[in-house]
Amino acid sequence: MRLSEVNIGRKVKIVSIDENILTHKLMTLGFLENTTLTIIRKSPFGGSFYVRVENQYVALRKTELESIKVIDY
Amino acid sequence: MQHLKICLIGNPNSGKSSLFNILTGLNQKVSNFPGVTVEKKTGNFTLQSKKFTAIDLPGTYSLFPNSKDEKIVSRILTNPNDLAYPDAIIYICDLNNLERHLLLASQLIDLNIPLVIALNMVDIYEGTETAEAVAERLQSTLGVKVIPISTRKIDNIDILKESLIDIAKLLPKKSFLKLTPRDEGIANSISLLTQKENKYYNKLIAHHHEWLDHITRADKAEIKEIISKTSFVNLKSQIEETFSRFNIITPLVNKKTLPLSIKGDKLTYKLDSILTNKWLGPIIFLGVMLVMFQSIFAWSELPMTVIENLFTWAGSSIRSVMPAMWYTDLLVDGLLAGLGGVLVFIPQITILFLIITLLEESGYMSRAVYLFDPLMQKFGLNGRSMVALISSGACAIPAIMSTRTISNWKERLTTIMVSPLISCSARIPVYTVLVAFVVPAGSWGPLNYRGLVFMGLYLLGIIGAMASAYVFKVLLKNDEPSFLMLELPVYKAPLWKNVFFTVKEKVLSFIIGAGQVIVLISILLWFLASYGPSAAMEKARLETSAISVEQNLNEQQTSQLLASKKIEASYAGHLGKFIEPTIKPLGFDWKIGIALLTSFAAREVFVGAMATIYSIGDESNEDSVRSKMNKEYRPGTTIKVFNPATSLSLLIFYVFAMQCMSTIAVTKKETNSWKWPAIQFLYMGVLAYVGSFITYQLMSSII
Repeated sequence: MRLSEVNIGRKVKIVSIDENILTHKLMTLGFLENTTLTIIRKSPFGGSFYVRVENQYVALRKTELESIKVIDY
Repeated sequence: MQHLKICLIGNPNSGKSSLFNILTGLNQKVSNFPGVTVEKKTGNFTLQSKKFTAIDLPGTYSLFPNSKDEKIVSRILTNPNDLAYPDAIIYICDLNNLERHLLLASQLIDLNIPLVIALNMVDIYEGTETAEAVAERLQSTLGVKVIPISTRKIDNIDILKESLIDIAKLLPKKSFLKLTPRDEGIANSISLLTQKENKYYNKLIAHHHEWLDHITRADKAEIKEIISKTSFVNLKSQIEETFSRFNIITPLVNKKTLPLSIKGDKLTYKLDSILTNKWLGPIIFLGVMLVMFQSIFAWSELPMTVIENLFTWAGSSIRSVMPAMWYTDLLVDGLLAGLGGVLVFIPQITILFLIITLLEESGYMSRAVYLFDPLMQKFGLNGRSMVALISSGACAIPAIMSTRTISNWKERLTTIMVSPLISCSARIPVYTVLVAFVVPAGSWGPLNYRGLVFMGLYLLGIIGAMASAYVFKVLLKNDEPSFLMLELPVYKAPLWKNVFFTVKEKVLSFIIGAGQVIVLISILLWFLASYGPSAAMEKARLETSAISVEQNLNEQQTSQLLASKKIEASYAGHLGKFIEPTIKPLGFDWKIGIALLTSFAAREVFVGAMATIYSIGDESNEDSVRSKMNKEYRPGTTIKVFNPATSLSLLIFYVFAMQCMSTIAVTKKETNSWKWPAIQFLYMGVLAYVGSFITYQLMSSII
């Protein structure tokens, strides 16, 4: 499933990332295959998400979540 | 002997600037990289009689940059003729984020430039392996020197420095580059053009040639030709390379090196459940902003009064010692009045920069970006625009420069265009002087009347900025991808050394930058207001003596009359009279006109200009500018020049108008054309004129 379909608080593992303009930047931020992540919360005006990847925090937009494929951890 | 150039390279939040401050101490200076306004910090240090120049490069995640800021590193490393091209690199790497941070390290190793890795943040590292063991293992697997350090505790910095004595030893012994046959062929063909053997160097040229300035147009065409014959796709090849690098790096960073916990992680988690909470987050943010602006006023009042008194005292002392000649007038009315006008802001600007630096250093600023990104997008901006908009409260110049982290051009442009509408610190003195003429002192409960008007002016600026951003969103087509993807670092107590250097540097550059303009304008204005066409000046003298005889005025009254007649006859008077018809509907007379004209160099000149205009001929110099302005009446009436309607209209003008040469210069530099500063100047001018017109007409019809 896509990360954008995952509920807040559910622990998942990255299977793959779509190849597009965002891929490279996502990888440098620690979004690598087999890393675990959790969406912690949603921003006030909707649209952006507070995500924990391994041991760090990253803010992502919904479109950015969409390019990440995950499975339950 | 020549200095050896050492570039400091690392990911954002790796402690790079801290290391730079430790290495160079007070021996640092800030300049710009040629052609771009990205700040270049350099500093010297000596070691066993060898001289070094450290260069702090902007943080970047890899040599495949997204934003203008990040491109600097690639620009320098692909151009051996660049003034900043390093003799050796210190790569700063966060031990707690090893996997990610080794990506750029492996790219740098492949460029085969002398390199030492500083494994930072060992003080907060808690793993099963010791930091020393990790460093040793990395050193043998990466083939470069790895030194565990702590910039927080200032640990092992000496050892790091000593490693630079013999840079030949720092040459990487291994390579991680695995080129596909296709990319190998491209690199070989390009090497014929660049005369460089290093394969990775040539591969980077293949990726980035389009925006690298040091590559000639002919070479660019040839590189394009080479690439077009193959199946090379820039983006795809970048991803492939990154994948293959992580395939090597990930096993290096086995479970043993992964930190068991990170200091500050639990605290960050707890703090953020409140600070970035859906409901509480924005409310707390507004509270932070409110406290920020409150402290600017609360803490700066005393030092400001001290500085003001110092200048008044200096002025009257000079007058008592020096002869009453033109050069004394120039010194006191021109130079000193102007200089005092700038230096009086130092407390406010220092506090503002201090708070903004604290917000950035602690990590709160990136939370604000996260909180407001969706809202900003509705106005055609990026969450990162928040940093610029908040900084604009201090000064639009660093704000506009901070937009380089926004990679989408339209979002960045819009941020640049609207940032100067946020009321900056230069407007504070203008507001302070004029608000007193709009509303009486006093308060309604805890709410101070003048404070309320002040807040209203700030709010107006914010509304103006957001509305303008919306218009730009509608007018400009945005077809580039836009993204957020922002690292939220753990909260850290700010390092005072870093805060000190940042604030010092920003305040100094304000004083020097704005100071030069203001002193220059003050002297010019003094000249224009003191001299005029000789016929007109003679006529003023004759008229004065005629009136003086006719009305039987005493000596003091006569000299005051002469002064006002003379300023009217001066060059400045002519200029003011010339524009008076255009500004009359706004409620401004020619004297305000002079102040307005000079304010187009810099807003803060307004108070100085008022001081200069009303000081000339007034020997006492005891009254403050405000009381001098309060005594001005429209000629032949009992209406005060600074009546509420005129004063409010003038305030509105200052909220909207683009009156800052330095901002125009920065906009020009950052957008690389005169088109955008021209549009910025015009639209803000129209807003100011229309806003003032409506205000004055409404106000004067009510009263």
